[in-house]
Amino acid sequence: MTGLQGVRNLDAVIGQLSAGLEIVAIRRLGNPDDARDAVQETIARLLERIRAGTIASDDEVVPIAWGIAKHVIADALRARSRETEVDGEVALSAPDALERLVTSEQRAAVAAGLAQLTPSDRELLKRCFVDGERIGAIAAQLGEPAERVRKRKSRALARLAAVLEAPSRPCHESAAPPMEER
Amino acid sequence: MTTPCLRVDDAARYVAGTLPADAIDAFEEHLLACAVCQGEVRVGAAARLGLRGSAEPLVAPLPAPDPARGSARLRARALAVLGVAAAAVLVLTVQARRNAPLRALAAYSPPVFVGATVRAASDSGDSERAAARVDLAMAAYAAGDFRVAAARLNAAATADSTAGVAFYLGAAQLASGDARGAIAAFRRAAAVAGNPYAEDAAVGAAKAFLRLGLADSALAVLANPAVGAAPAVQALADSIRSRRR
Repeated sequence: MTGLQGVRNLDAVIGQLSAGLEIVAIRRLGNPDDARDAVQETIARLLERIRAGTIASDDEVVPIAWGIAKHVIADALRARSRETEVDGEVALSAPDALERLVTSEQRAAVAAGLAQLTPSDRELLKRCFVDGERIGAIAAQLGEPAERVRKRKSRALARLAAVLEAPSRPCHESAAPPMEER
Repeated sequence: MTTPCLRVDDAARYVAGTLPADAIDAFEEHLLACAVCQGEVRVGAAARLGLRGSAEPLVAPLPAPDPARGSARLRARALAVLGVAAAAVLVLTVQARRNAPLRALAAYSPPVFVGATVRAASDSGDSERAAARVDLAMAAYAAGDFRVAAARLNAAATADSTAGVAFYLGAAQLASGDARGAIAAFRRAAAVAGNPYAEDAAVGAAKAFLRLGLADSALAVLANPAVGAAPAVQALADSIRSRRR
């Protein structure tokens, strides 16, 4: 089976890829407009490959898309270095660039969302997303089981997500037993 | 039942910038196909924005109810909303206090201009005009009129790409409140290898980032190996790190 028939659920695959590509492109390029262009270019090249029949199944889509995306982003960075900041655009560090994922409406809601959390939950989110500490290290310092801290973080994030009206199903929110208990 | 994602901590450390460089590629490839990690990164980025303390105001909605016209139920709801808003104001106040030490580091005194040659040597009519603009700009700079100096240097920089012009443009812009313009100018000043302005330009760019509340970007500028060993650069980087703890 080749071509568009080779990839099942094409719309769903492309939708999920686009959302992930947007995050990666913004982090690497630091500019939402450049990121949008990079996502569109990547998807266009990916669809060409699918139409040409060189991608036979769903399993091949993500690695090929990732390879294309890296080339597209590298090209954008090279083009930007040639332009040498003609437009005065400020390149941000990667963590600061990711904050451009937050829409203006969400920015207005962030403070209210955080205010609904307990001080200890705010501190936990800060240690995770600002300081970048591992859950295991935080749990050890607090003297609590890692899974309990993980669930607390997950619930706090879900409450914030509800305020932001953003999709939030944290990685570790799962009915499956935690790794430590298996 | 959803399949558990084993990238439990990676998404948070990706947002925070502490995921090791050699793990980023693999995580980003995973991110393309993992909706749960995408959600974690998006909400985590919002959490980081609110919790790291930002120079940009995070506006909490504060409706203005009219209790005299509303029912008791509406008044109760209004009070609840006001309670949330008051808590949000409290969070912002705490963040502002937490951010105060970093704001102190953003203080910037433009270097004194002692009349050294800033512009490129002129050998044509165009460059003579550009040189004259630079001289006029530096006269304003020396007089402490940084806004005028920035405007003149900005015009001169279109024809004169020397590091000196870019550096003093950055200094004048930062002194007159244009942090974003200053970052771009300081970066041009630091981009020319081996020029005498590179270290001061890195410090200036870092202070401009601090003024915008972007401490990670400030540290990234100071980590540039071309200038990172300079005492002033190291001292500012150490101060940022110690005040964030």
